[in-house]
Formats: sequence, structure tokens, C-alpha cells
Amino acid sequence: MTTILADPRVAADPSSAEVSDYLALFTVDSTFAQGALDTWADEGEQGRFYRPGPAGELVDSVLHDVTNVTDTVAEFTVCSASSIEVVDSDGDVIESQGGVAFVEAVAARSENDEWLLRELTQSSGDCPSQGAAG
Amino acid sequence: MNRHHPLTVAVAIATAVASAGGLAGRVAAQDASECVEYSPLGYCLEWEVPSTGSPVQPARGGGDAPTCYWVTVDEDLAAGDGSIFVDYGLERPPDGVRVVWQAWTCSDGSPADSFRWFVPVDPGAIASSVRARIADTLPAPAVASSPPVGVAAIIDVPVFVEVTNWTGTVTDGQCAGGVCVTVTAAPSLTFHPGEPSAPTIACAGTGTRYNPAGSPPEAQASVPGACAHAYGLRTGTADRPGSWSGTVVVMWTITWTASTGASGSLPAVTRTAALPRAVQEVQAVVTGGRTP
Repeated sequence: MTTILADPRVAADPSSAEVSDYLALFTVDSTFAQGALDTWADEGEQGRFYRPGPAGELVDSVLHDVTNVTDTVAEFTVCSASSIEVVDSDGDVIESQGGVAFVEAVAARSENDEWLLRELTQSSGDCPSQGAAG
Repeated sequence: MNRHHPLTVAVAIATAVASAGGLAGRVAAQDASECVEYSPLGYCLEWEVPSTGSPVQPARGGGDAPTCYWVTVDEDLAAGDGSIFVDYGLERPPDGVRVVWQAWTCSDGSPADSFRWFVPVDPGAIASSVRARIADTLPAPAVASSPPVGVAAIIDVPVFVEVTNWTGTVTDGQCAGGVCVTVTAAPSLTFHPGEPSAPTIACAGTGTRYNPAGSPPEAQASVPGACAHAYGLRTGTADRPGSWSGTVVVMWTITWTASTGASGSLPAVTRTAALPRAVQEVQAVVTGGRTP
């Protein structure tokens, strides 16, 4: 995903290794994953490219809690700290974004007994505050 | 707690699921829903969940989760001690550039723990840039006429004008800073015959080519939008020039639309070609008739 964000235009190429790697994390024919790729492709088309911000990493995630599990589906939450800068095609920083996101995730067990992501939703929840760390 | 990237957590979760061993529970996966807005990291920010018998309703995170969104902060968060940049991993805005600050805010009142600033993009400025690029490509009209250029017209016999390098509507676009702007240049043609008090002829499309096999010239010239004019004043007399200073003008009207929904217009681009025309008077001599 980091590679895709560096130049989101790659998301428009279904034959690219980056797209294949990303889709492989999700259940087969995931409309969710394709929607994310479409969004990134649009970002690239609009001249928005992503770089790690001053924290050094685009995203640093912690598995927060497993909230619900069945034989075929698991729900869990993730706290995702991000430090992002958006640059335009000239390399000028046009946006900076950072903080902690509480993410609700759903994974499903595939026929091959692999757990694959179904969806990721940024929501509201209790993650360690970034501000408190400072 | 080990750190994982969220996109690889699914692998790690397998262990947790296996140890939990088939716990029963309601699964809140949204099979029939669709994410309509993603964050830069690929997280869904807004779900659209179809409900039976009613239009789709926006929802987030399962429908009963709080609604979260970016809210513009009035104060300049950079004006403090600068700790926000360290605490939240934010780049400092460029010096002298106005930025908009926003906080990620949820309807349940949970404290904002993500911030962002961005440089607001002026789509009109992008449009002006694209207009200049388009204008560089727009040619002066190449004119064909009947009678041909350089041949004198005859009083009361229409002169027909057309443009042979008609561009049609030209469209170009540019994206910058997350905003895409499409600029459209739509041409229109006018013919100014140049003789005193002659009207400006608003021509349809590329103008009018005279059809020798068609109806009489006067009939062809009377079609609405015909690019034709019948001169009424001869040239070359003592008080008149050797030709009327006619011109053919193509004007491209410039409009733009942005991906933000904004739209506008910009100054038109005009290209002109001279079409001077000498005009002669023909006096017919009737022969073989019977004079009453």
C-alpha cells in the first residue's frame, strides 16, 4: 500500500504487482478493495502523491482488540497512527495529516482456510492519544 | 502488544480465531453495503447501506457507529508552541501560505486525535492556466469564400464565407492539489462585410459554402445562419476605397468546471482574418428583346 500511495496512479493498473499484492489481502472479488484502489487512482489522477510525514512512517498500526469471532468471520479493532504529507506533481507539500485512527476491521476465512480482510472502517474509539505522548 | 500493519493483521488474527474456536456471534459485515468515501490509508469513512423500500441511507461502521468527519478549525493551530507538529506527526505549513486546519471529529464527542492542514486550491487559477494553454493552440481562421478571395464581388450577389480550419469545441484539463478543472473553448463565427452600415453576420457552425448546383445564391444566402452577405455599395469610386475591409472572426467562449463543483467563465479568445472585398456593379444589356 505504501508503494501505491507514493504514486497512486499505479492503482489504475490492474496488472501491476502493487495492485495484485493489495487485492491478495482481501476476500476474492472484494468490492471494498477495488473501491480503495479506485479512490487512489483518482488521487493520482488529481496529482496527489503521499509521503511519510515527520514521524517517519506513513502508518504504524497496533492490533487493539478482537471483538467478535465465528468460524468464518472475525472482527477486530486497530489503532493506526499516521503521519502523512501530500505533495503535488511539483513536489510541493499541499497537505499534512497525522494522528491516531480507530479502525474497525472484518476478516473472513477463505476456502483455503486463510483469513482475508473484508473491510476496514475508520470510526470512533479509544486509542492511546497522540497528543498525550507529546 | 505487537505492532502490525492493519493490512497484515488478518494473518495475525488467524491465531486468535483458531484459539477462540468457533465462537458464535452476530457478524456485522456489510455484505450489501458500499463504501463511498475512503481515507488516504484505505479505510472506509462513509458507508452507504441500502435499506428495503427506501433510498440508500448513509451510515458508518455498521450503521450505529458515530458519524466522524473532518471539521474546519477556525484558529491557527500552528500559532501555539508547535507541539501539535511533534505530537501528531505533522509537517509545518510552507511559510507565507494560507492553509486550512481541520480536526477529525466524531458525533459521540470523542476527542479529536487526528489533525490535518491543506493548502486550499483555487480552481479558477488552474482554469486560467489551462485557458492560456488552449489559447496557444487556437489558429487564426483560414477563410474560403465565393467568389474566391481577391475576386471582386458583384452588387446584390451574395458573397459566401466559410472557415476551413475550424477547431470545433476544444477541451483541456489539469489537476492540481486534488482539484481537477476542465476548460471548454466553444467557437462561434462572425463575418463583418466591412461596407458602411452593413450588419455583422452571425454564422452557423463553420460558415457557408456556396453550392453551384443548388438553389439560387439568394436562396442559399437567406437560410438562417448562412454566412453570406450581398454587398450594396461598389468600391473604387472617388470617395470609396478600392475594397471594403471585411473581416472573419472566430471567438472561442471559455468556460470551466472543477471537480469540486465550482464553475465559471474566462475571457474569450478571438482570432481574426482579413477578407477585403472589391465590389463591382454589373450593368446588364438586354438584347434580342422587344422594346415596348
